Amino acid sequence: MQSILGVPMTTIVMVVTALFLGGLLILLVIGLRDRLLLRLALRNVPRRRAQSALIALGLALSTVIITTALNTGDTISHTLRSLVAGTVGRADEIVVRPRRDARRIGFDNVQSVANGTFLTGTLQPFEQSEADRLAAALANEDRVAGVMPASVEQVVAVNTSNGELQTQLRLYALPRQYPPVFGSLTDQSGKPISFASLDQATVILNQEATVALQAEVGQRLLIQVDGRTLEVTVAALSRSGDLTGVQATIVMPLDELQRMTETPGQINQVLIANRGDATTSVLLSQQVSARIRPLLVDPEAARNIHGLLRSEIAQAELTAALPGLDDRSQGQVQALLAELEREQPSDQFAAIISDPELERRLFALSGRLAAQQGRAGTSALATLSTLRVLEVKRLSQELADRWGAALTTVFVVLGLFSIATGTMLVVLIFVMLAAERRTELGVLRALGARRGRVAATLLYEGLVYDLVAAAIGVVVGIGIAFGLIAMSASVLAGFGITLTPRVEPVSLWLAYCLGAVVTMVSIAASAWRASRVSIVAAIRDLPEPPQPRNSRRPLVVGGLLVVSGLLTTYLSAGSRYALPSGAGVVLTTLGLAVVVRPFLVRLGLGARSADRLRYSLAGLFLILYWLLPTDALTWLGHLRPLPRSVDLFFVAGLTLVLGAVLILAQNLEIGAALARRAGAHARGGAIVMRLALAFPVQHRFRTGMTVAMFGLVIFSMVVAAVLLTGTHRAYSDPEAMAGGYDIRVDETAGGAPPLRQLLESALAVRPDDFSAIGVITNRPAEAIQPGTDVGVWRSVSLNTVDDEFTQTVHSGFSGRAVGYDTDAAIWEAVRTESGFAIVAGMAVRSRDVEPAPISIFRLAGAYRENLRFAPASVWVRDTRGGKAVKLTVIGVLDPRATFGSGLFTSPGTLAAADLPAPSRTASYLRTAPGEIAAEKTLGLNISLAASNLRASEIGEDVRRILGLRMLLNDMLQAFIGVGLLAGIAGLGVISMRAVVERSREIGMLRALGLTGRAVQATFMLEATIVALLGIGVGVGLGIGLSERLVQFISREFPEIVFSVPWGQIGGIAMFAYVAALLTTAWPAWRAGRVHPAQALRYD
Amino acid sequence: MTTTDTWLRSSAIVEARGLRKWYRTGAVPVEALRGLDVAVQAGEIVAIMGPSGCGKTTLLQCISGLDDFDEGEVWIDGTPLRGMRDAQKADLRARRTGFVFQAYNLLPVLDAAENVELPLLLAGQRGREARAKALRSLDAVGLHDRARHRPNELSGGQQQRVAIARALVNEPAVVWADEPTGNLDSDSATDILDLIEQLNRTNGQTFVLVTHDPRVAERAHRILRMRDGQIVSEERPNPSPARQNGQAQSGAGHQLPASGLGLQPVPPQSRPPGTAT
Repeated sequence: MQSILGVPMTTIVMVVTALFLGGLLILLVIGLRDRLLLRLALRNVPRRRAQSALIALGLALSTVIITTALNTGDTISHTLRSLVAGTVGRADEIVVRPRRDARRIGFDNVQSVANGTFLTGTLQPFEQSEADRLAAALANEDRVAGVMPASVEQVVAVNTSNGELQTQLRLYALPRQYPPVFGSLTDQSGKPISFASLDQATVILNQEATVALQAEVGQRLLIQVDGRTLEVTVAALSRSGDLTGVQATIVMPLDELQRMTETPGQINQVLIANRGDATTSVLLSQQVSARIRPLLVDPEAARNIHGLLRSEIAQAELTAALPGLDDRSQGQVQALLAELEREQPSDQFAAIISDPELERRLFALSGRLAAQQGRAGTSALATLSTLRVLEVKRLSQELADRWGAALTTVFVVLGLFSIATGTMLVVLIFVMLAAERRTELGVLRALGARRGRVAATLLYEGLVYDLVAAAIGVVVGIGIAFGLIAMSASVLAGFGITLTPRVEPVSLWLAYCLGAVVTMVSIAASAWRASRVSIVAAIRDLPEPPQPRNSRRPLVVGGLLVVSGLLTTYLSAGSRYALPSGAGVVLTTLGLAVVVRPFLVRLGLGARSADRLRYSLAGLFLILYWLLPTDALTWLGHLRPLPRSVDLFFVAGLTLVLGAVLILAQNLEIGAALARRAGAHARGGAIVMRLALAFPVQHRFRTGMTVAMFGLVIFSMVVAAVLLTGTHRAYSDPEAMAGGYDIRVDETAGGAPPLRQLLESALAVRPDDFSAIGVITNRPAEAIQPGTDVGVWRSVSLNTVDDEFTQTVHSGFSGRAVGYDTDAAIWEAVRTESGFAIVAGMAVRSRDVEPAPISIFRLAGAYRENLRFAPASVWVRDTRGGKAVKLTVIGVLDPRATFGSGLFTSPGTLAAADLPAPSRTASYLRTAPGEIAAEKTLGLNISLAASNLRASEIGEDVRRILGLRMLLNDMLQAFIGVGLLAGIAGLGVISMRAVVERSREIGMLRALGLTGRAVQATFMLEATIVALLGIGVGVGLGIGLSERLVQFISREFPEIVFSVPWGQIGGIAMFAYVAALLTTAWPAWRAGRVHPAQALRYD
Repeated sequence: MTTTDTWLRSSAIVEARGLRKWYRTGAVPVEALRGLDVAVQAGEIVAIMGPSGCGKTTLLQCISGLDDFDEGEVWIDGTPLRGMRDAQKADLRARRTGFVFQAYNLLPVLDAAENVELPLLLAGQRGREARAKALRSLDAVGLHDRARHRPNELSGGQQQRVAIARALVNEPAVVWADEPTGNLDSDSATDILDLIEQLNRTNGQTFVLVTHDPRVAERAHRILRMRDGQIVSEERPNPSPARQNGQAQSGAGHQLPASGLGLQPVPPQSRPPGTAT
């Protein structure tokens, strides 16, 4: 993994290591100079072994969370990298001729890597002589180890011996004498296979293909490739790795493929391997591709663009764009400006402008300039080179790392809840530890120890626990990460992805150091708090005295909090992150609550009443701040950050729980009084209730911390459950996603005959197996919307929908133009009247989202949150220019629909335009009642493979996506749930401590006649009260914030609606409650068995 | 200003004027010390007695710098406590005073020698010197052979001896003791009192003791009786034969003039800080 939350991993590791080792060194130096305190601390550790073990486990939580997040990310990165290595083999770059309309994004890329189609499916054939030309040009290039022409195809194959059919096989055709750098072929026993001397129509299968086809040497295979059926014999079975990678692959000589498919001299890839081994060769990729690009550029197109960019306007625009670019792009633009000083374009110029990154940026600029100058700049850039060099290994590895980092980021943000809970547990544990040692700390102070030294004693003790706990945390974290990976293995297997667990030593070190640092900071805070003990009260074991009336501390501390809060809020204005402004509001509110104390006391309020009033009001404000609808208090809404970044989830959660706990902790007495009154007449229960309430009320800090720990984790689980349920319900509706169709048939190459015509003569399916067949064609085009501030042509995907599609599709619209009240009215208008169009949901932006300066068409005037909009006029034309056609957009398609992007209109509307033939056709089929979609899909594939068509079951896709969402839901819930352990452990620690602390009290009660059972019931009831308060806070606030978040999200994604998964939330609450009771059971049992005489002798 | 006042100011090791202290834990504040004045001369053993809740422990805590007071002023060895920062008070406790508590309050994870050397290390002494002094101090209380024993391996009397060794090890100007015999049986209590008396005689150290025990009071040079946050009387117990012998050696107790009750009503503002010595 290269980065987390956008920060480079190396930087994180260096900073965290420096903090950890620096802190450790400082503490060790101080400890060695003050050995007695060090000794005191170290000897305290084994005093109570069971308690020490519990403390170490509690402290391990932060490390567990961090380790789990990092390991999961590492595993995803490593798995994708392995898949890439298995797919691209030894090739670092490939030269291909991409189809103009082919564009893959996001998960498509990953899935294509997983199923081996990463290098296929979007390519067109070209002359093998291009490979020879490249090989000759690179012959003296030191950085290149080998150049090889190849044809790589995704094929369907059948083993004729056993009927085994496989649709996801790769056919890899190579020259008989290929450069050895690409790897060798060996049989299962490790002996080399003579590839050069393979007979005609023979192939080699690697291990994965052998298993998939259940094949043996000598068996015959039928391979469907490029519309032909090839009959071949298995000549040998090879081992995986080396040449073929781990994808199921059939290898054959290139000349044989060309002969059998009658495509002499045609290839679809040139593979280039750099010098170095499998890991170092990729480092040369950018240099090698820069060397290759000029060799692929059309000199005429380069001259055109050079001339276009030499204009003053162009150079001024390029210079003006510089400040907004990243370092790499800045360097490129500066180099480009230098090249534009020359009269004629150089190779360097060609290399720069054909760089894919810069090319994208230049596209819009050249289009604009071309329009101004009346020249064909856009098309010049488009025809710069028909062949492209792809840094396939580098890009796929980056993709793999990005996915790994993205997952880690999600886990880290969600893990923040658990880390916060763990931090509270650490504070709670050390507050209790300090409470236990209170008298000793008081004596140390009485003997002349300064506060710092007292704090250091606790800190050293904490350090021992911390170092051990971090190690435990790393081990447990690895275990949990592997558990999550195991959970996801079966679902991801459906996508062809096999997760390979991975433990990166650097991540383990980072997790250890980070966990240790987080814990150490919490311990330091607790130690500082403990060191402020009142000496007299500590020695005599009395409660801490209240703050003096005339103390200036509240004014100073509160004032500082207010100033820092206001400053943070002011400085964070406009930030896309919610954390700083959210933190600013919390600091200001708490500061105000602290500052007003002396004034309230001066007004005649008692100290306790003043505390209750100020903290309750502060808590109430913090809750209202996040939960009030924007319309309720406009000024509050302006102050509140919008949920545009994931960190809001965390900052809102923490603030809300803090607010609720402030109110609860300050009003426990009132609640307890009401509860006592309610239970006053309960036979035998009144005394138990009274005793169970007494301790939580007396120890407000502990109670508040435990409620907060429970509340925070339950809160995060509830919010995650509501949001995931909302998206799950929105995107698991096959009708909305696939328009009610069951099967989709795509072209694997151009020129396939119409599907209906093929079905007439198909072997395995009949036309009446399907009740509807809708066809969508697609071609790249340009669009412009007059009257908007974007006055340039932008690329758009232009689709036509045939009559049957508009009559049978079930998908609806998220926005309708005025005058069209129903979905049917829109589809009918598109079908029956020329000039009408609809736009894909993704081509409409939300009102709150700033329009991005991109070169892809977005409709202005209609927003996602608007159900109604005025019909919008859009002009479309071919990317090469030519006659434009006016379209009136009357509907925004449901964003869940998976029919493609851009604009949709009828074939008749486009008839008048001078547009090329569609480049891609997709047919959507609905099976007739009683027919099974899976069977029909197989039948279609058997029947249509020769016609360059491939069928896929849409329901299967939806199910897989559903499975993936469920998996994500489960994984996130399980991950967040780890934090629940902290809450439960906290309750356990409190209960155990309570038994020790109240031993005399229990003895006295037992001596007065209270039964052991009643004592046990008291403890269990106490745990119940605390756990239920936490669960109530978490569930209430979680549902409250989810409602607000869904309200916001639904403005952009109206399909997501608020709905509470009560069953799931009930399950979470029940689990938390039962676990809390189980944790308390043992201390309660011990309390019940306390012997009165022994307890009264205690101390 | 009388001649006696001048003499008192120059010889008092501890002095408090107009000392007031309120406790505000409940709804109604309780005035624990009601503007009392007190002075303790160097080398004196002063016993503070009175019924429970009369404020004797509060007085000890306020004049020893363990607790804050609301009004008045306290000087220890001429140094005023009011306005002193927490760290300065800690240093004062580490270098100039020693404490003995009713419950001994030894640190359970340290052995006797380590407990005794604690104040020295806190005062910044080097480890080896501190250990040597700690062993000498333990020797002085008759526990040299118990130096490596932890508190739970010692009897109550032995623990209190260790606590006294700890209180005396840094040669403090004054030792504060809160019910030093409260947790001890009769024989152990006598041993401890003998020890205190002997140390007072031989080292001239000042002891301020809070006690309910008349046997402790008997050994004091002066007894201050308190009621409701005020000193209501002062007594000089009849010296025991043992004390009469000892006084000849130390000369501390009998230096007090006959009229030196230590309760002279001196206006607080009349005394500039730090002028006692």
